[in-house]
Amino acid sequence: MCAHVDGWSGTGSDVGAASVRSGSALNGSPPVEVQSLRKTYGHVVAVDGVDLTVHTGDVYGYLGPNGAGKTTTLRMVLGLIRRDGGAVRLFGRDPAEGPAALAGVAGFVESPTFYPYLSGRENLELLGTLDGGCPGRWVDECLDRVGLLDRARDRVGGYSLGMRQRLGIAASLMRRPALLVLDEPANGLDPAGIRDMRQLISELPEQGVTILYSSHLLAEVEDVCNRVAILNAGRVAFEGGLDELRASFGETTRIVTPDAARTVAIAAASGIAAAKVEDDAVWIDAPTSAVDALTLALGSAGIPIRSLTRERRSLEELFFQLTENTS
Amino acid sequence: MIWGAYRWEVRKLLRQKRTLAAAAAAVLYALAFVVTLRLKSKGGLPPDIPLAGQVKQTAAVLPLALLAFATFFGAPIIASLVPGDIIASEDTNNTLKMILTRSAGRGTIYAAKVLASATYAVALVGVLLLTALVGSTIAFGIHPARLENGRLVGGLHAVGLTIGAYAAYLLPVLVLAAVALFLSTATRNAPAAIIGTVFVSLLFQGIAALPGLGGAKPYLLPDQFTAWESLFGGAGSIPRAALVCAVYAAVPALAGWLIFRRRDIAGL
Repeated sequence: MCAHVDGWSGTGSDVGAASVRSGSALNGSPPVEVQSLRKTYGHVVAVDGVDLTVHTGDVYGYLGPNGAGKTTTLRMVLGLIRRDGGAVRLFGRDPAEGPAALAGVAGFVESPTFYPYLSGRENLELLGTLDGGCPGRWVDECLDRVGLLDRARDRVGGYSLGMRQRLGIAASLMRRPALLVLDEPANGLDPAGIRDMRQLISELPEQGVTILYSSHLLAEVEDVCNRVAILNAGRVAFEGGLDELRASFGETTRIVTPDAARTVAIAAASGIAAAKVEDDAVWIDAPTSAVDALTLALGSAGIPIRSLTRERRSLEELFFQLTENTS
Repeated sequence: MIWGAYRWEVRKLLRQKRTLAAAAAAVLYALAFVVTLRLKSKGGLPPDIPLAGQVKQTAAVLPLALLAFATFFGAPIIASLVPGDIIASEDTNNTLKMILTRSAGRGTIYAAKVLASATYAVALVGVLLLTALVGSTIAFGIHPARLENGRLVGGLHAVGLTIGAYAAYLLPVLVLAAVALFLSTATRNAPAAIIGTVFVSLLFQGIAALPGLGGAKPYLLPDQFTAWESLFGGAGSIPRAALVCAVYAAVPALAGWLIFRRRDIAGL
């Protein structure tokens, strides 16, 4: 089950290459399919009808405020807790059916945890045994990749949070995953560690690894993920590409003119109601075609346009708009 | 894969202070008996212990006294110290979520823990026997002994019977280990599992003391703790003890498995 890997800085890594990964994981089904997933704890509905699909090659950001149900979903995805309703499929297999369904799947939920009285290497060797055996050389290569080879003989009890996160990544890479599930992997990492993590997450999809990435670091998610699901109060508030997410909120255009008041009036006459003056500029929320029409109308009215900028909303803005408006 | 998981369970046990503390307790318990009896100029063991009168004459007898005294509290405490912790500690450390997302199933993990708990019990009884035998050999030497039925046996033969007695005593100890494992799984709390095992043991003792149980007594747990006496001409039956203990151990072990296989791994 174990993988051949290169350094944490990762050049030419073979960790995710399909040639060394369990062929059974690559059966054509999506890496993750979740349908109408539901989990309750007493009267509290933690996950309420979640649907999401992670396609092969995705770096899929799974976002949501605290208590939204992200970790509960991931636990059900990995078969750690039973679901009350709905379906989960990993490469077409139900994780509730047992460990065979987790072939080609690796990762961790919340902070990775290890036996504190064993060394880092021993912990990985133990996990390798539970995977059916893992040569010591591969264990060392995984440790080397995450920059822990020098501390491999130290007891995990003496590791910092960031070092445990790195060890968690190493433990995941050992399984040469086709799907990597990471829950807040940057927790406790120093800036260099976050940079390395970002680089690793960027590299793995090139090698055929699909990543389901839960994080609070929205800038990181925006940087590395191509698709996202935003969970709020146990429900999916949005699922799709980042561009789709932006488009669903419309785009903001900033126009600087010498006559803001008339610009707003002309915008209103053109059917753009959401126009306002702020910071000596006119801000409008409208699709590209409406902005094109407005520029022509302003030209016809003799109002010069000093600058026109399409303002791209950050994922953070969109996240808050989705989660705070519907909470 | 069970073998590999089992070897790691044993390795983990050997690295934990709790295991070493249990072994140290067993050694100290045995040595305390040896030293006390060696220094005691008068008296010896209570007469209801087989071969009690020969305790200072041959090394084979003192280890038997340890068994007789351990039944009420010593055995349940020592037997539950590690099995009571073996699953609860995984909950405390939140490590189940790591090992249960690998290729080994819950059955493999549980079986490995059952085997490791049994190994611990065997090892602990072995440490107790070895310490007691070495200590009493040094203190009293190995000499012939007369069994309860009057038969005279050689010193090494008597030692062999003592080893057999410990093997027989191991049977109910394994039952207590299984109870502790079950409680460790059910309560997810090591102290609760250990105290619970002592309570269950005392409960069995209390039930066995109830009047009117006559024919049922040989099938209650307390009687199995004295089955070894049959080796020395006393009452009891080791084959019956093996059968009864197998049933008593299977029930909590299976109940623990039923809980473990379905439980949510959601952290504490």
